[in-house]
Amino acid sequence: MTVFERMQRIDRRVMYVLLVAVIALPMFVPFKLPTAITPEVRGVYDAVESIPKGKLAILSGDWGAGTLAESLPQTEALMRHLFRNNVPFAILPWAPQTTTLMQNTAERLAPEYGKVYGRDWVNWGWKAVPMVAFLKSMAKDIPGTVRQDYRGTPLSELPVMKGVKDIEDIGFVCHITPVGNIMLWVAFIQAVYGTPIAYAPTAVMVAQGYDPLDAKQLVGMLPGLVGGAQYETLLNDPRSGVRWSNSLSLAELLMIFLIVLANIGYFASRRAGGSGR
Amino acid sequence: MNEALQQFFSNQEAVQRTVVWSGAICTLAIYTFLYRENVVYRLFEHFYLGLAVGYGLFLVVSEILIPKWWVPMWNEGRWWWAFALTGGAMFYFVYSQKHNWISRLAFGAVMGLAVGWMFQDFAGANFPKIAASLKPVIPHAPVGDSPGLTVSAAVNNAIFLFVLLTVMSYFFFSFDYEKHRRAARAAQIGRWMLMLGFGAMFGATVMARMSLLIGRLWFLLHDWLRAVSF
Repeated sequence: MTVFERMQRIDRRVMYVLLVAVIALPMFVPFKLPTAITPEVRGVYDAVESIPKGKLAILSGDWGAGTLAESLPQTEALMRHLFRNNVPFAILPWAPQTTTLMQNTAERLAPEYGKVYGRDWVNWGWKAVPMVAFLKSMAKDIPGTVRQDYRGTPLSELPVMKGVKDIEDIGFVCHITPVGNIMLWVAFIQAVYGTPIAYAPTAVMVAQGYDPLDAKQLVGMLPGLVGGAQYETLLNDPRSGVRWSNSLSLAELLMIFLIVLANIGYFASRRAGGSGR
Repeated sequence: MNEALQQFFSNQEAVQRTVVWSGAICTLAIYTFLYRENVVYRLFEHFYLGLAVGYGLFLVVSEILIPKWWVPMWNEGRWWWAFALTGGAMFYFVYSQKHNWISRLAFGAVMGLAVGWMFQDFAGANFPKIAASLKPVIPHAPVGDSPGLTVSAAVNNAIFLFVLLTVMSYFFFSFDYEKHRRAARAAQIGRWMLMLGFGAMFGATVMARMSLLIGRLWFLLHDWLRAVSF
């Protein structure tokens, strides 16, 4: 086997080991790669900055442990921004796992900002009802639809919910999700009431976010892990998103390198008189 | 035995370490597939399937049937919730050849509800996109309340319209492409544009898959081995 043929036939297990090595490297040796801020991420940041005083934000989510590396940095960065700006928010989980994961995240961050559950944020809990029915009902009557938080405490007993009656009291929504249901928020809330909606999808779902962004149905988008890293950069507070996006950048560089290597091998072996492979 | 279990579960640190060790063993067992197909991978794959089914069933009972149906009906005197059982049971007649029509009533009601929602969903989600697709392509200065259009924005809009029209022409099947060569050419360009779009989507998918691996590696190195920290 010639060297050009070897370049095309690297054992996949060798590639896996290389991949693990380049992903692990930034975890052991932290460094900072330049992060360009895209307009869609800037849009989310600006929308949070312009939430009117006294209005509640909603962090809606249906992610689980499977997409933690993408959804957690997005959630954490948004929560930090809301805590820092003293914007009260409600966690609206669409899955049981999300209830716990988002609550744990808020509880971990809250002491850094001196925030207290019930006063500065609330977790509405998973309601096990169809999303459309919940959104349509919630838009008109939040206390009547949500009724109690994830612990079973009536909303009326939570100071953060004081004065929150319907969607007009909501200043910002961000839907953090690995699935394609953002258009339900757009169709049933943004299109009807004009509430600013942001989207924080996993990278797989990014493509479907660009047309509503272009149509101004979304105020912005955090595309996957990279979106979380950009948001942390905007907050000037690099955390897991920035660190993990370094791993992602190195992994992609490795893949590009391997693709180029195999193609060089292919064309070189053809030029040398072979049939490519 | 009970005392030993109680003692174990009262020790949060021990419970946490057991959970992390279980997660690490499961993760490594699944990743053995990367070397080759093997019995450990198969065993843990079946663990996952069993867990997922059990978890799903538990959720239905503990989060829906008991708090939203049984408790209101039995403990709070809302007897009319008993009719929900009838409505729900109607779906299962789909398995009966003789009484299949009963299930169609239930399915029809649900489909009617969904179709009603879909009208609003379609209009709210898509009409603004159609309106936003009609973009100006001639640069101009601001006029009254209307913002101006820079040269770069006009070029962007022109590219957008070019891609939109060529891709739409690809899905327009009423042309006889043998006779209308220009339409055939536009459709061909549209196909190339779609390929570019699919390439971008595939790239994003690869990025997402890498992110999943990053999440698991962080779990192994940070939570399990405690070899790295923030």
